[in-house]
Amino acid sequence: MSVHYIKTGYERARSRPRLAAIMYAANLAMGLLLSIPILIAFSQATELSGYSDQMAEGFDLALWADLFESSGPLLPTLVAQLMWVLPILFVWKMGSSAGLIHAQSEGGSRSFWKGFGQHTGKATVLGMLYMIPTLVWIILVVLVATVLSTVLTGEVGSFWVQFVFSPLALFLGIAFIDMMHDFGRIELVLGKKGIMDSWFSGMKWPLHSGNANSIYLGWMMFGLLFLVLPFMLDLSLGGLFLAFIVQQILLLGRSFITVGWISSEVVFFQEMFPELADDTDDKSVSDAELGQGI
Amino acid sequence: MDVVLDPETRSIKGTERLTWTNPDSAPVDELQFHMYLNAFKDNNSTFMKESGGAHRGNTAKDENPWGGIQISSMRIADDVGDLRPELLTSRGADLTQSMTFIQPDDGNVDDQTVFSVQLPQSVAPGETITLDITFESRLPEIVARTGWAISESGNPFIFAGQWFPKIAVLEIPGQRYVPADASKGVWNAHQFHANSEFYADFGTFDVTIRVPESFVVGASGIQVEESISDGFKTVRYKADDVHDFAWTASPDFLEFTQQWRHVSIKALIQPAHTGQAQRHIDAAIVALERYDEWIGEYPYTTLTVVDGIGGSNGMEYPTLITAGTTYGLPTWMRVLELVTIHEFGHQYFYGLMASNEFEEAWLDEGMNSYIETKILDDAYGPGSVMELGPIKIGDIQAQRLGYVKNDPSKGALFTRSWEYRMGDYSKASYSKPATVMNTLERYWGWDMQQRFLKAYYAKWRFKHPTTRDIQNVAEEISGEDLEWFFSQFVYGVAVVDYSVQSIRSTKKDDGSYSSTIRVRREQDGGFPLTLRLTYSDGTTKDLEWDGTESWRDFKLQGGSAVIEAFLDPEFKMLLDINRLNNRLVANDYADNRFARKAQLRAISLYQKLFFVFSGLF
Repeated sequence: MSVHYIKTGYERARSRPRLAAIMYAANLAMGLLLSIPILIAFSQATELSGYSDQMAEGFDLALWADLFESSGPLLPTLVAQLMWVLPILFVWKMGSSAGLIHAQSEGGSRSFWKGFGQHTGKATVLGMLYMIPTLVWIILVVLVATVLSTVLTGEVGSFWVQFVFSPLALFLGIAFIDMMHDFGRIELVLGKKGIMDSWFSGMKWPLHSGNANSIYLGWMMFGLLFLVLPFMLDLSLGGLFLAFIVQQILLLGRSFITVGWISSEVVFFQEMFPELADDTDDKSVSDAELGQGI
Repeated sequence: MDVVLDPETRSIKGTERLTWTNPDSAPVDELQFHMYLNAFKDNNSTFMKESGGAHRGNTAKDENPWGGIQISSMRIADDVGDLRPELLTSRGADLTQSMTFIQPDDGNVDDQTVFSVQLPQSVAPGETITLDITFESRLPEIVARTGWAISESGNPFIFAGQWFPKIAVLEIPGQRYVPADASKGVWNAHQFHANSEFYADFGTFDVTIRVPESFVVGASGIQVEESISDGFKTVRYKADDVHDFAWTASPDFLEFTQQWRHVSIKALIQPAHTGQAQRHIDAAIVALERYDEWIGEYPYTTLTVVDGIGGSNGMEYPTLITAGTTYGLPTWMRVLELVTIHEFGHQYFYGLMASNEFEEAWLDEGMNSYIETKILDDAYGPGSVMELGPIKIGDIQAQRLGYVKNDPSKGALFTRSWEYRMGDYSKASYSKPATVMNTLERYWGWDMQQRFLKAYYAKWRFKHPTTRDIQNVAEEISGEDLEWFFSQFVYGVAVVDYSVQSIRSTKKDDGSYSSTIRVRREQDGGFPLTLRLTYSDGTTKDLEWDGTESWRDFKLQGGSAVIEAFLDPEFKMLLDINRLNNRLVANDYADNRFARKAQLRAISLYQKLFFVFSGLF
């Protein structure tokens, strides 16, 4: 059954390609903005150095060390940027997810931006609430790992606890919390529930339906693939421009997956709870907007 | 020596018969000994005060981590002949009462790592004296190189290094820095310091060790006997022409062996690391092959590589080294190979050359680190210490960065180990000398360097060479006065940094160009170097500069404009602390390709990280 929902999500995403484009463009714009200090610092340090060509072609530890030394406060600047970027990214993620839920409900006929406008505030509060189970899970994993370390002692035991169990437990746990969050957000946007109700309802979803888990895990596999591949390109293709282009295609694909992923969850939710179908009047997407896939 | 290990009390009890011949032309009435386990006797030793009880990140955890040596008796042997009548009357004399702890380095009266014993009669030049010593060594919990630890399986691990009363070196007139016209030799014995390794004289060791039957033993030298009775294993080792003797024992060791030419290689590996046993052996062979070819033959027939625990790892003893590893160490991270190659290298620069590591650590650690960089590059390729996709980090680069980006104006190579400022010891004993020697090699070429190394080894093995001696060999072999090099980079702390300041080309009425290139010496260090100019027509021209002036203008006339000036284009001068400013292109030829590519990579990285971040919520 979950395959059906994944297919439907895929079809919905394909029918409104500009939703993926928005996700991709926002992501790209943010990356572009953050990379400007790098361009400026590296330009100043290398454009007249004669090493630009050589450094573009491969990694030279000596030159990189000199570069960072001459670039002065670049690294602190890059770190400091995260102070304002991460909150913005968080709000964008909450708002855009709510927008996608709204857009893909009712047969995928509604406005993304309207959903974004209507639900970003509440979705952000909900997102902050979901930090609680995430934090609890992290603490739990640390505690379990500590206990495990007393049983799986020694070097081999530490290896398995630190490098296998802990990352895997963190990853899977956070993935499940993310899934709870997805459905909690859907309940908030489509189910007309309050923030606290949505929070609690969302947390029931892993037990609520096997299909919900399958849909999430299915899309997660695709999502991982489209994230791992660009990372691998970093390692295998070095500094080639071609790598960047291929990475961008893959990251566009990853954005498409985000849209399809949420669409599948929305379709599944609405089939589970047809009575909660939102009849507010905003089949509101204009013809022009629909035509543009937004 | 004849000793028994008691794993319960973590002690080694036994007897030592020391046969010592006076090498001096003057009588000797005092002997000096190292008692280095006393460094771990309490918090008041010089080692503990200097180190704060930590070494390479290792600290003691046991309630009673302390160790030490106690001598219960020291007598002139009464069953050995060839003594003069004066000494014969002293046969059997108990010297214990005339033992006095001395503190030649820092006057710390609580330090008991060196003692002097007054003889009842002096030992004449060339005469031999034999002492019988009964001692008990209580091993400390391993913090720095030696002691006991409990393995993961709960079994004892013993590493006995610096574990017995060891006679110091009597330096005779003309040896090392003792003036040739001095009336007599002087004892060179230093206290155990946080920042130093060791110095001792060559001799022959014959050691019988008794351990519980289940223990696997590894030791310096050649095993000549083994017997088992009453639940105990007795092994006997002989080691000729070495200046120390160390051994290890644990029931956990798994033994792997392989023969390389005349050398029997034995690896004693912890059970969790069996998958990496061959990496240890292969790295040892890689080092043996290259030392044999580049420096000289390894004169011993055994080599034992010990995969120790914690602070015992990364240490060298004659024909026995500790390397260690961690479970799951990936093959692209060649730390295991690096450490094994480094510790093997000490068989030459420590073992055979036996320089004074207290006073001139760079001659051992630094020369060894230099050869280590060569071997890693040669055996595994440049950039082979860590190879992760496009990121390759080589040992030469890593050693260079350890110097050039780490306060390069501090810490001369020629400095007594315990007098370094905090953090300067490792830079000045490892990274900087490796970079200095790599620079010297690039200055005069590998052929000359190899001749120099071979000559140094041939002339000075078994003789405790000094900095002055290595400089003399370098000058003899090359026929060049290298005072300018040694005074700056070995005895001094000169810092090298050259830069190209500006390129100015103007077109003259006749269509030719007049170019002026200004180069600068940014720091106090000087080095002859090449300035390579590239013209707009694609041709290049090399000019030589002795690098002594603080700045210089090179003025040239020609049919084309100079578009690039490049100091040291072949990167011979690894000591230059900033390579980025060695090169300059004319403004019209500014190239932003790297910055743009870096930006693209950063964008892509951010994008990926944003997706990862989004997945968290």
